[in-house]
Amino acid sequence: MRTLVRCFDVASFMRTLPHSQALAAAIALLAVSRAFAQSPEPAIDAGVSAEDQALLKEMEAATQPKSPPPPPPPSLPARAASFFSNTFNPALSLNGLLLASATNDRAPAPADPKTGLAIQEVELQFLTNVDPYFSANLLLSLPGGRGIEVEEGYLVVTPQPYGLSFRAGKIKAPFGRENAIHTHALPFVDKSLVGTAVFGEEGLNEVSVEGSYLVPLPFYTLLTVTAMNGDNEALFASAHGEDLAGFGNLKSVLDLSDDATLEAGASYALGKNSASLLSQAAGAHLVFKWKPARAYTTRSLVVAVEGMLASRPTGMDEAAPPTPPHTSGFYGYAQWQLAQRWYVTGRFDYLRTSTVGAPVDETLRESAILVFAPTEFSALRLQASLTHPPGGGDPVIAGVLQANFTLGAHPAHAY
Amino acid sequence: MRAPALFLCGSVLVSAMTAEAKLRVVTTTQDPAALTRAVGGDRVTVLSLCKGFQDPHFLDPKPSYMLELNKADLVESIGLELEVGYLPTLVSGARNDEIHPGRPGYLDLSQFVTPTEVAGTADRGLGDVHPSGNPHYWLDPENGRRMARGIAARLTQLDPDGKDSYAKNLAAFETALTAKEADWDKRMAPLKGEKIVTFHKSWSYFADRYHLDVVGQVEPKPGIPPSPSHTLELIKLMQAQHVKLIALENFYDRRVPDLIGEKTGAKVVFVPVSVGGEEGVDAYADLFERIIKHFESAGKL
Repeated sequence: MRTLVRCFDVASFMRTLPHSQALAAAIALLAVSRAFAQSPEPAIDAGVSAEDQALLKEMEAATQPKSPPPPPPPSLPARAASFFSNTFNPALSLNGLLLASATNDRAPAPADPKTGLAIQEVELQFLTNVDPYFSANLLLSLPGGRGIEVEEGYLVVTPQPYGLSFRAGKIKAPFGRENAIHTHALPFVDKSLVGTAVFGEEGLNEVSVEGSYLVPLPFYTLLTVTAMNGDNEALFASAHGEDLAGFGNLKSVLDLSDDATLEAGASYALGKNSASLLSQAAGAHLVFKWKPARAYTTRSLVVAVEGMLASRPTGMDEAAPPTPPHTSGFYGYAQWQLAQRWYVTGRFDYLRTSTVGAPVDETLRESAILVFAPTEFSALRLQASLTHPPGGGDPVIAGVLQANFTLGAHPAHAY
Repeated sequence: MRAPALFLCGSVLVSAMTAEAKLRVVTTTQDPAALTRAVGGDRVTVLSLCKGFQDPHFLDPKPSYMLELNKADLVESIGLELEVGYLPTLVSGARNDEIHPGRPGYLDLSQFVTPTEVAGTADRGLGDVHPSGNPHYWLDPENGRRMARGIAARLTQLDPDGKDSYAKNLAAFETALTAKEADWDKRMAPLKGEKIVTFHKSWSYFADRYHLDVVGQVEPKPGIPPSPSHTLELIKLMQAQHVKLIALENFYDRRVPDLIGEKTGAKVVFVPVSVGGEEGVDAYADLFERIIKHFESAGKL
């Protein structure tokens, strides 16, 4: 009755509104009034007579249950309030990377820091089982905070018979140490010179079908073989769609003691490029990790070195990108944990590019980074680097402060 | 000459086959490992990934652990998100379909206890909270009994031939535990109602069991190292409430608790909170024996 009274009160006002606005307002008012009508203790209008108020109270009392219903047993799930449910929603997480940079480089390359403030990347991850047979992992990236792209998105076959596992979709190939690591988990704010030169800014990240095999040895050994679409513009990008690229990796991790491990890996990729010639890349890496069991959260050391060698013959292809035919180099870093939340890391980068008939170009870079990680979900990272460009030009100095944060149910990173 | 050689070969073969017949159990921490050894006896081999002197919240998913899980018949976890930082990665990397959640080869032991401190909301602004409840439940011997029963049931499911053996071992474990519980209750009785401060919220179940009154933590929030302002507030609180004991898990840095103890006159009890946390703490009962001994010695001072 109260609802009807309120509706009648506003009817004259509604007639003054344009037709569409009146309709929207009517719907909104109806919704609001119905919501109030369902409130547990509705107020009785002052204009209603005392006799009617008594009658209304009597009617309300008659419609109330005599005693409150017993609560459902705690072990039962709550009944759905509608047909829509978020029960099966995937695990969601978001990583954000904010940068404040300063450099003396007046014309920095796209991958290099520029003076100013920037969003380096925002990454959204969706991870869940599809059904008993597949799980799915989708990572959407917003580089620079603009646009959206599929950074990774793949299905994993859940059954893993005989030590085998299969994935299909857009996958960061586990080429060496660095390529498969997402930006927020890299030991530095930027990638290595050689990794960027061989595979480009996005790395070797292709639509692929991947099979891996846990080799039955006394120490961990994983063999990975991948067929890729061959889209990587720095290395492949054949003009013929049917030209697939291939990739293989063998990685072993050995426990030297309870506190130390040594990882060794070798990788090889090949495929046709835009000149329909065979491009190849090979790499090897070594990682030593030390983390004493009795000071597990306060002391650790990581020493890593990775080298790559790539050839991209261009022949007479004039449309080929300006990628030197021969690229090689390495980087090495050592990370020392100073205290529970503090890390310091130093890195040396070397890149060598050569073109037939042209002088060899060599680029060197030294970098250092200081990390304060209050929890595993946030970090402030201050990096300084000194790059010596080819040809003996003035060195490029860059300083970057990165804020790195994670929201939601982000899965643990691989070892 | 040939007969002894054949006998030796046969013995080695039988021995190898017997070893193969044992159930391979991998646990995340040493407490379920100790319970599984007690219940499983010589029908099981047990390996714990995390050592008792390590903080069980943090463990790197080393690939060698994947190899152990690859060969495991059963994986036992504490659950309540204690191992969320490493166990999912290890299980998915192990290539062993039998140990995935939902399979008989995966046992989340939190299902056998009633968790406390279940959070209504999951907000990381509150620190490293466990929304499904406090995972340090093995520090109440009654929960240890329930865990042992759950383990015995699962071992029986996986190895029906061992049913009698597991039942016999479980009964012996429970009888011994009951006798020790009576002793521990008696020895902890003088500390009933004693106000204590702990480093992390590891002690909730132990405190509930022995009626200790936990008035604060050295950590400002779970998982967050002590800050000067929080430490000052805690010192004032302890002085106001005459707190005489600080219970400190023996894998945390003791410098700040020692400072608090110095300023307040409270005794710092630096104790293991898991089996394997100190030399000689090898069985589940050893853990309580050692903790209570530390509390007794602190209470006398």
